[in-house]
Amino acid sequence: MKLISCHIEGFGRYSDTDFSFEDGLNCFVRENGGGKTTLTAFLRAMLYGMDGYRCDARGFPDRMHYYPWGKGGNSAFGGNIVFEKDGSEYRIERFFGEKNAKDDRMTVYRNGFPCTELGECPGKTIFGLDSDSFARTVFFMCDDTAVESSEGINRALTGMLDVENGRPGAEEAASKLREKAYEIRAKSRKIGFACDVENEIFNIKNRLFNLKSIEDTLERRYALRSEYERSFDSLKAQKKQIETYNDWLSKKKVYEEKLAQKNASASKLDSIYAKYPEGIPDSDTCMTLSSAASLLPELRAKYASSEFPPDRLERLSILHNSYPQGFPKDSELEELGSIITDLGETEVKIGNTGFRSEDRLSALDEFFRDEGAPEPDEYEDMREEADLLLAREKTITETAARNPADTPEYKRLCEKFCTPVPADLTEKLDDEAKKYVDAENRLQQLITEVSGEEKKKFRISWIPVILMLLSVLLLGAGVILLLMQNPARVPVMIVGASLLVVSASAFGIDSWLQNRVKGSRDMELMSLASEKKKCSETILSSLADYSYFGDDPLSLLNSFKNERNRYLHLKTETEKCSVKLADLKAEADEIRTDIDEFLGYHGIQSALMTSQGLRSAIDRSEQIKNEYKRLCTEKSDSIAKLYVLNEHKKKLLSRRHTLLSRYGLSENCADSREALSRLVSLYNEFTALSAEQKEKAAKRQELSEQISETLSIISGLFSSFGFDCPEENGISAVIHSFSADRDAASALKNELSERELDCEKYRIANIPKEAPAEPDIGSAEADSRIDTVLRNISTLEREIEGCENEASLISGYEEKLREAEEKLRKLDEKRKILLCAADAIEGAERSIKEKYIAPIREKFSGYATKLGAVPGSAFSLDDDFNVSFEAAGAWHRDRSLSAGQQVCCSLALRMSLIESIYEYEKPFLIFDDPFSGLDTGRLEYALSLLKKLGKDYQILYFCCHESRAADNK
Amino acid sequence: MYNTDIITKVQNMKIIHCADIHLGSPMSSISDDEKRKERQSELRATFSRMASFAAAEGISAIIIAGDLFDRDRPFRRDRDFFLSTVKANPGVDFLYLRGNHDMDGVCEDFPANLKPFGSSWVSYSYGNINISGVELNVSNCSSVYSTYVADSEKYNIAVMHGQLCDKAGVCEIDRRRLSGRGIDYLALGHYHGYTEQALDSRCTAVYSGCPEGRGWDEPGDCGFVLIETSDSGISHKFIPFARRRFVIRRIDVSGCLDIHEVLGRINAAAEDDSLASPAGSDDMLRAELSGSPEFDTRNLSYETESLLRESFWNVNVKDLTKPPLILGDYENDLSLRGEFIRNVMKDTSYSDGERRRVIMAGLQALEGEEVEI
Repeated sequence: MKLISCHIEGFGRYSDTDFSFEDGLNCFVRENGGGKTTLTAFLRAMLYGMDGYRCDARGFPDRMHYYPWGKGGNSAFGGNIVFEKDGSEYRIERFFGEKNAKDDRMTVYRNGFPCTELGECPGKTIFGLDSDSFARTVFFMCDDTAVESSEGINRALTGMLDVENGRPGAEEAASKLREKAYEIRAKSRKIGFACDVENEIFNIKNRLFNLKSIEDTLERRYALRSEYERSFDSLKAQKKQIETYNDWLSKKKVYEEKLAQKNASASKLDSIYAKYPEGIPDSDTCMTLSSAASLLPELRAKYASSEFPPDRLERLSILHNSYPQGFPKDSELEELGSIITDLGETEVKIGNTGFRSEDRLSALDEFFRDEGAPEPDEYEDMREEADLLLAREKTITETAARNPADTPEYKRLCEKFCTPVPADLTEKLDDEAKKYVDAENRLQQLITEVSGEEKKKFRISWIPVILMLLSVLLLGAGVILLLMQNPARVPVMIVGASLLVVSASAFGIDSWLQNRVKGSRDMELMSLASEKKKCSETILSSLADYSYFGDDPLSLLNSFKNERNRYLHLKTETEKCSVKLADLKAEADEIRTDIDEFLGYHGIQSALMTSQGLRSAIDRSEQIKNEYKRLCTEKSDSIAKLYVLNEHKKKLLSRRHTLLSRYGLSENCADSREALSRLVSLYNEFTALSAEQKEKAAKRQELSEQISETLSIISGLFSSFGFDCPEENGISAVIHSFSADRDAASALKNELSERELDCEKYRIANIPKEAPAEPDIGSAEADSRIDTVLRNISTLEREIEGCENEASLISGYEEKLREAEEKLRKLDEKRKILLCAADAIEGAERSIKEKYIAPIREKFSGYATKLGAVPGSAFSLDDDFNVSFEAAGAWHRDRSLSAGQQVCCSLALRMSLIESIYEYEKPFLIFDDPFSGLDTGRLEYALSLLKKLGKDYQILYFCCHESRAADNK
Repeated sequence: MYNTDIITKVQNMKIIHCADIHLGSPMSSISDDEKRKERQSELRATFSRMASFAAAEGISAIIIAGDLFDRDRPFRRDRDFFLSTVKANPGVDFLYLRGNHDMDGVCEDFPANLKPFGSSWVSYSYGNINISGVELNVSNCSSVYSTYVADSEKYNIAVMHGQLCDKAGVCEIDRRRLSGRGIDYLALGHYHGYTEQALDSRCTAVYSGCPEGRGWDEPGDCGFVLIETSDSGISHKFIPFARRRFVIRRIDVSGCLDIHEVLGRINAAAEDDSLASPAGSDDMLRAELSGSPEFDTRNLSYETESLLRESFWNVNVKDLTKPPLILGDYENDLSLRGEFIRNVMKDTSYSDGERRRVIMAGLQALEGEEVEI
């Protein structure tokens, strides 16, 4: 590539200024402030642009530095450069904003046409270097003698286009990997995911330790629980012992109480026995005494009450005197009473007995009086008649339905055949029809023949044809023979000619015959047609009388015959139905008449009834008949009954008279009853008083005897037990005391034996031979201890449950621990992988660098040696292009070099890099007075180098003193 | 089925053989707390169901061949549950042999139908069956074999807990010394899966397995063994009885383009009945994904578990996939990328897995992507 020219519109001190450049070394000697650096800065700005700045920017940015002087700032800030690359001429026109890079505008032309292939940063595209790398290689400024490479130079050297596409370089990739690794575990190994996992493991282990500690306590707790249970059992046993002892005490007390009660009962019994030296009267004795004693007052009271009262005695006397002849007998009174009652009942019966349906019977008698009531069979017959009538009526209905007389068809046919049809008409019409058909057939035949002959218009008779052919053959043969001069020619020709004549004649005769036949045929056709027409007219005219119209006589005749036959059939049917209907109706009427008569015999008017109602009417008539019979029977029964009642009444009246008159009682019904009842009551009273008197007397006697006997029993009993008989009013008390004492003694005796038994049983059951040991503690104390133990057990159970729950988590935590340890292992493994990958990337970068650094190193060595850049011969250039040299037995960095030596080193390195980077197309080099610090020797070396380089490179060399000018020639 | 010429023909007897119930097991393989508690309840419920089944089917006894509890000292609640179950089924005898996990379990307050074994042979008879059991310890683990006496007129069932092998120990059962001793059925506990093997021409040694699986190391059908005697002899069959099963499937998801394809392969593998125990909606499924799918698998296990959660009672997905490593033509790649891959491939200090991961991490970093390994 070659810089051709540049035009500065406005850049620093330059305004509207042009420069042109030649191949090889272009030396520009300008005084200080001559614009050398401004020009180099312009060239750089054209290629790489300038950074914008803010108002508060520090330093002196190029945009501010090189803003155009003069013209009041009205000149454009920029210009253009023209250069050649890859055979094309490019022009970059670029103008800058005062401060903001966004105000810049650039246009690139290639061979006079705008192009965009150089991108937004033409310098980068042209040189393959960023601005910084450009400054470290192609662009050598006097104040920039750094001896180092840059990322852009490295990339350019290795051609790692991957980086150009935005991918990270080795350093970035390795850094990313290391960053990732340190996220897992930092270099300090104190932070990172792995550290978090380690913490987690630590926590899990702690938790496990705690859980296992808890689990370990379970054994102790189980043992403690067992101990508590044993203690509980012991306390329960103690409690039981206490209860047993207390129970024994209470039972003993009870036993002693029982004994005391027993002794008390014994002493009471003894005191009672002491009162009765002869023994206590037994219950029978006491009962006897008691009953006797209780009987006495009763007897005495009865005796006192058994006296017959005086007033009653007087009444008895009165009654006795009222009927000196005596009172009537019971039987007589009873009989009289029954007679009076019976009489009343009989009269009532007589009143109720009587026939009450006389009117009805009379009405019915009207029907049945003369001939009597019909028998049941007759009613059954009538029912059958009624059923038969219904059947007949149904048949009549069905027959009437089948009668064709009222059908439209029959009516239509009647209209058609209202005119009588002669008997022979059909025969005649048939004859005509036959003629018609014959004529038709013959006509068809003839027509067929004619049509066939017409088809064969050129019908050929075979005989004439054969003859014709033969004649032709013969004639032909004759000609041949003639030509051959055969003697047979003449006869042959004669025969042929003859045949020809014959065949012609045959044709003529045939034709004549055909015409003749045809003529006769035509005649026949005409006659047949005429006959046919005549027959048709005859038939049609005959049928027209019967309303048969049409063109086809045969079909009409056929229709006529069919309908005629149909008409006759229907007519016959109609007649039959009528006859049958008449018969049925007659029969039905007869049956109806019988039934109506029969019903009328019962007074039932059935003329207007329907046949369905007749049966129920017959039933009703039978009911009427039955009713009649029943009424007759009732009447005769009532008459007989009445007779019997009257007879009975007579008897009763007679007997009543006898009895009443005997005792002077009225015959009148009402008075006799009253008198009888009064008599009965007086009689009853007298009888009762007499009986009472007798009874009382007997009773008094009996009571007196009983009293004496009772007294003797009582005294005897008392004396047998050594007691004097007490006063009558005190006997009960004494007896009561006997009973009481006896009962008491008996009770005491029972009680005593029961108590003895009870004591014995109780003793056997509850009082052991040996008394139980007295417990050490009391029941309350034992209960208290038991409560305490139970509380302890309950608490312990809860603890055990809690511990078991905790212990059950151990497996889960162990699993978590395993997982965490595995996770940690994986993280560490991952970290190792990442670091290895980072190392491997850096190693790869170094190995790559090694590949391209070696030639650079060699070149640098050459240049540095020539320039005397480094003291001594022992120096090296590392992978990062750091120069080291050995001096005084130690290695030193390039910073230890002098300024001049650094310039030489920088030049050597730049040239080495440029030669390595630009293997094919050489860039132009810009040197902005870089050798101002060199000594004479080194300056000479440097200028000599420039001249040499000028053969291969276009160099723009700027200096401010002739002594440092380089001659290109 | 054995020669029954000399064995008394009596009514048919039925015995249940179970073992390794591990009541109180924490079910730590299940991460969800609620499901873990539910599973613990189901373990208890299965034991209770088994007891009820025995009562309903007229089974004379249930042999518990060890490890009834999960802990040496079972929790009180587990002990009380067991005792209450025994008491609730008074018509069934529970023949209890303690195993290595419940050496200090239920010792006192035995209900009448709870019949323990001891450190010497203890026998119980049911019809034509004689059941003898012994708990191995340090003192008797060598001497028990010679003290076993079979009942020649009955079918003999022996009950032990341990590993059937060729030596004797506290947890080892010497098969050679049990052979030919007149045992018809050796009821064993210790292994948590159902297996059987012939001990001799007469005897079959059977591990009933645990009635409910407790972790992914106990996959497949779980239940108990039903032993029956009839006129023709003694027979046994495994009865699957578990509420749920652990089902493990190893699925190669190479070539899958998205997670739905992965799900399809998982579901197909789960339902495949050509493999043992296809997984149903009540089962627990572990899907071990291997191979190299063709999409980003960074959250594969989490997303797959979320999507499968509705299909199975519990799901665990282990992502063992290896994302495809697209190295390209690194041999000829002059860039940093190529140099990096070449250097790592040459470095023999890495294992294959580490090398793969280093390369993945480096490439992701060089590509400017988020580094996830």
